[in-house]
Amino acid sequence: MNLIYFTKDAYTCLLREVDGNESKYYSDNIWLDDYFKNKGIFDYCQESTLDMPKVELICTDEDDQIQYDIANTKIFYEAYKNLTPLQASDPLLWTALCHIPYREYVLKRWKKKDETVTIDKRFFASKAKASLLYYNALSRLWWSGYLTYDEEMKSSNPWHLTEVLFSQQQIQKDIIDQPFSMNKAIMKGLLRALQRYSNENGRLKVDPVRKCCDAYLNHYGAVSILDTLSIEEIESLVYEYMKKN
Amino acid sequence: MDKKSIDFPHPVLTEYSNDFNDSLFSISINYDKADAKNIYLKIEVELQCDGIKDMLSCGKADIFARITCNRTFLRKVYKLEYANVNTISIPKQEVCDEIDIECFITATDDNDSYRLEEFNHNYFGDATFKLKKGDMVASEPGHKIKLDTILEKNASGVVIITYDRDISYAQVNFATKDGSNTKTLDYITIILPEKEYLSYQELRNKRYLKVGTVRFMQASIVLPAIVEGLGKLRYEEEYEEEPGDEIPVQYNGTIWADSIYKALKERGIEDILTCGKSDYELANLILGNVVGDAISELLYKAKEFSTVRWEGDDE
Repeated sequence: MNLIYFTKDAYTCLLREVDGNESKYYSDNIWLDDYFKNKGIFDYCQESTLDMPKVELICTDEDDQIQYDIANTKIFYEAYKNLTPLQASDPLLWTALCHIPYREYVLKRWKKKDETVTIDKRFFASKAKASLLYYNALSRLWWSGYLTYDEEMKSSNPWHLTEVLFSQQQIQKDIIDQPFSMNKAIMKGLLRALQRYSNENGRLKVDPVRKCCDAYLNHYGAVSILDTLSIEEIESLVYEYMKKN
Repeated sequence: MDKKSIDFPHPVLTEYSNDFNDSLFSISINYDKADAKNIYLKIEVELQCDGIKDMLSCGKADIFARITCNRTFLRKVYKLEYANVNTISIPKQEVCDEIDIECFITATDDNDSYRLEEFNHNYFGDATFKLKKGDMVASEPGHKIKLDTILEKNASGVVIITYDRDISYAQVNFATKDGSNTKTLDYITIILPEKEYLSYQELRNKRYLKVGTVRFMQASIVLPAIVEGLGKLRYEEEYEEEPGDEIPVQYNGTIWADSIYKALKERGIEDILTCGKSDYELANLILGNVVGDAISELLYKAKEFSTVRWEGDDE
C-alpha cells in the first residue's frame, strides 16, 4: 500500500465540517468521494511513493483497550518504522490514514460508552505535540514506538520501555506532556527507573509519577541541563525520587 | 522554563543577571550551508570569563548546544569546543519549519565549593556554592532559525538576505529567467554590508530582540524589494502587451516571480495590470499588511522603552 495523505484543502474542509459530518463517520457507507465531489475538491487524497503495508490492528469490545495499545504499537511501528520524524510530523498523513484504511480501527478503539468517538481528536491530527503524540489514533502509536523502542534490547525485548509507558493511560499522558520527553535518552532513563521501581513495588501509581515528571524533573531541569546527563544518571535520579515518595 | 525569571541557587553567567562582573557568554551561528541530507550550523563561542575558561580547560565544565524542533519532537545536545568553530550537522529528515538553539556551559562533576573571582562581590561576598553535575554555570538567550527561508530552496520563497564584505550600502538583485546572474540563484537577493547583516541576524535570532521587531524589519528591508520586483513584473507584462517587441530582461518564470504571482492569486489578484492596485499595495498584501503590523510593533516598542508620557495620554 502506498501511503496516502490528504491535500491541505481537503483536510481544512473536513475539519471545518466535522460537526455536520458526524453521522457519516458512523455509517458503513464510503462517503468521502461523494462528499468531496460536492465540494468541488476532486483530488482530495494523494498517494506518496512510500510503500508501507496495511496492518491489522487489534481491537475488541472490552472496556480497557490500553492493553492492546502496546500490541498495536509494536505492530504499527514495526510496519511503519521507515517513516522519518519529518514525515511522521505531517498531520495530513495521519488524518488520511485514520479516515481511509484504518477507519474501522479508529471507530472501534476510541468508541466511548455512549457509542460516539471524539472525531476531531481521534480521526484528525494537527501539528501540536499533544495531537500527534497522544490524541490521534494512529500517530500516537508510531510516536510512542519511536520514542521508546530500545535498539539495544533488540535481541530480547526492545519494547520493554513501551510497556512501561503504556502501563496506564494517565501515566503515558503525564510523561508525554513534559518538554523533556522529546529527548530519547531522558525518556529511556526515566522509563528504566519506573520499570525498576514497579518490578520491586508493583503497579505504578499515577500521582507519584506525575509529581516526579511535573515537579521534580522539571524543576531539576531548570538549574541542571538534563540532556547533558547520561541515561544511567537520569535513571538513578528518578529511581531515588520514586523510592522516597 | 524561562531562564530570565528563575533564581538559580548559585551564580550563573547570563545576559539578564549581574551575577558576574565584566563577563560574557554568547554564541554566533552561521547556517548558510546544506546538502541533500543535512543542514550544517557553524557555531562560534565567545566567552569572557577567566574562571569559566579555567573550568573548561580543566575539564570541570563543558559547553553544549541543545537543538530542539517542536514540529518533529527533536531534542538533542551537541558538545562544543570553546576555541574552535563548531560544525553541527542535522539530518533534514529530523527537522521542519524552525529549530531552537540554546547553548549552556555546565559542570561536569559535583563541586561543593564553587567560587570564581568574577562573581559579583556585592551580591555574593565570599560565599561558595554547591554545584551538581549538569548544573548551568553560563547560558545564553537562545536562537531561532527558520528553515524554509534561507536553508531550503523553496518554491514559495521570494527574498533571500545575505551579505557582502566589500559593500558599504544595501543592494538588491533580481534573478532573471535566463539565469545570467547566477549569484542570485532564483530569488530577489538583498545584499547587506557585513556589519548590518550581523545586526540583522542578531535581531532575527536572539529571542529577546526578536519580539516586536520581526514585522518592522520585513517592512523596512523586504517590502521595498518586493515593490521593486512587482514594478519589474508589471513593466514586463505591459511590454508584452505590444507583440513583436523584444524584452531585454525577463523575470517571469523565475522562482521569485512565480512565488509572487502565486501569493497574489491566493489573495484574489489574478492580473496585476487590471487589479487597480499599486505595486506598494500589492507588496503589502503579499506580506500580510506588514505596514500595519510594523507600525503596531514600533509603537509597542516605543512605549515599552519610553519614560515620557505623551500629551493627550490622559485625555
